[in-house]
Amino acid sequence: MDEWPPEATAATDAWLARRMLRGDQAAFDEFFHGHFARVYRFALGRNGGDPVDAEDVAQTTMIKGIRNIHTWRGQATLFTWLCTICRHELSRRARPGRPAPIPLTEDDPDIRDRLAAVAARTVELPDRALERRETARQVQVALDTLPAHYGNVLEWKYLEGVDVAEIAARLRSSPKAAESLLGRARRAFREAFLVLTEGSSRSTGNA
Amino acid sequence: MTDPILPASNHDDEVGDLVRLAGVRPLPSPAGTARARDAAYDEWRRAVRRHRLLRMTPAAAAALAAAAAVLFLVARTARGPQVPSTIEIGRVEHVSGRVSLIAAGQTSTLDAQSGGASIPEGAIFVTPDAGRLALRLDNGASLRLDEGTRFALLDGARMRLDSGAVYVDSNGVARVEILTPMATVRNTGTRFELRVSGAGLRVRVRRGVVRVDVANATHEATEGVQIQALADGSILRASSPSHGPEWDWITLAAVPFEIEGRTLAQFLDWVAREGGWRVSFRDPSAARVADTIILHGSIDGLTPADALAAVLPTTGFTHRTREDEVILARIDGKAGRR
Repeated sequence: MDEWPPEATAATDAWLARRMLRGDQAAFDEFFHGHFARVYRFALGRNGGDPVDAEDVAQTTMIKGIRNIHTWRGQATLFTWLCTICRHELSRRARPGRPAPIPLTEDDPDIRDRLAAVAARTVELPDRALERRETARQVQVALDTLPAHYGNVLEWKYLEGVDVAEIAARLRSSPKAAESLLGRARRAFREAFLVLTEGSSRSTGNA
Repeated sequence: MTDPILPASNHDDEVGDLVRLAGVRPLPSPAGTARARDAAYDEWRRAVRRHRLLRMTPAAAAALAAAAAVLFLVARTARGPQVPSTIEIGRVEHVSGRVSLIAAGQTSTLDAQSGGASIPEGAIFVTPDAGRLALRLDNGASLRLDEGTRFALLDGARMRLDSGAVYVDSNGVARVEILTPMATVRNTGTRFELRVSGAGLRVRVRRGVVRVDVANATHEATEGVQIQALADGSILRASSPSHGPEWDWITLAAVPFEIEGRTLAQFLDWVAREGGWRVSFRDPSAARVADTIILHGSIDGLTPADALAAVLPTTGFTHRTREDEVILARIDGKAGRR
């Protein structure tokens, strides 16, 4: 099967965490730049859209994550683990006078589990568009759920119009490897997106 | 993998349509990312140090554990029971002298061995006449307390200064509010010192903007400005350099900076942050070189200005100052190592 295997991400994350604890600065940079913006968007979707507050929350989340990275056991991806820390941080900050964190489709434990696993199955994309804004948000959540380089190649391909040769150059890989990665990223994206849209339909009572 | 429903080309189109519909994902601001990266980097360095200690040989670890157990028992006997923590909002970074910590109605003592201790919400710190304290909050903000200070952390963003002085490097934290007996001081992403005494309060701003609410009026202090609110209600405004001996206590309160193994660029970042300067290079290539020079030795006990004067000559760089700016240039043909 040529799907995105969650265990591959877990192995990469485990390797990243070990390198970080050994003091490898490249690993720190990879960890920070691979997660900060995604955690920021995770917070932004739950704090009422306050970008300054989301930066604060994301910064605190990254610091707490780094402080406790030795306790991460690899049951979830590093990003999922950071999201858990971020949720706690959002809840901690939700005091009188501050809005409570906004629950979203992907906060449903079942949806979360399915996103984390991204079950290896293929389902037809929804044949009717959801409300445009919510769909756009779910697309972004799906992109953030994937390994960072999957989301990046999809944006390069479809937003920047970058061809495979250029993607390969950016990834410092061969065109063949870039093409293969692009294929895996598309399929993983579709699965993650479908999990979200199915969850959304279920929570609103739609078939 | 074959798809039972749609041919691959349609899938590509559909994924592309969705990604284009969503547009570029929102990004944090470059400044916010840089601040978070700096704070995360500091935390990572500390995490690596802690991890290395934990990875010592079993015999060494056992010996250390035994020593720690003895110290714990001695400390517990000397100081009484540990203060029960409620919500942890940060860590002690550095203590000089003996600092009192009041939390949950109990008083304990922080000393040079207390680095890394957790700080509960609501903690009150009292520094002696010969003692200072450096704290790091979970939101990344760095706080330093000068000698003779009484200071309370109401939560991660609200504080109270009863007497003495606090230096705040908010590290990008959006809102910090400090209550004092006569005014409330608020900042937005700044570095500033606030000092309170019987005569009133004084705010000196290194970076950003600080607002002082006193007697139903708001006064704003910007970079290089100090505001004094006197007990008789008068407000005095004056210029205030962002560097110089009056700021040295901030560095003395902090964890000593270790230059061993650091790059010249990292050292210069420290000089800029602690010394209150802006660091610039006469030509861009010099900045790239600063990234490659590894330093060795120690600058313990030196102020940023003294450290700069001691380190630079060994690196093939020279510098001159202009107001609050330090301008660096390479000495031709040299690129040394300290």
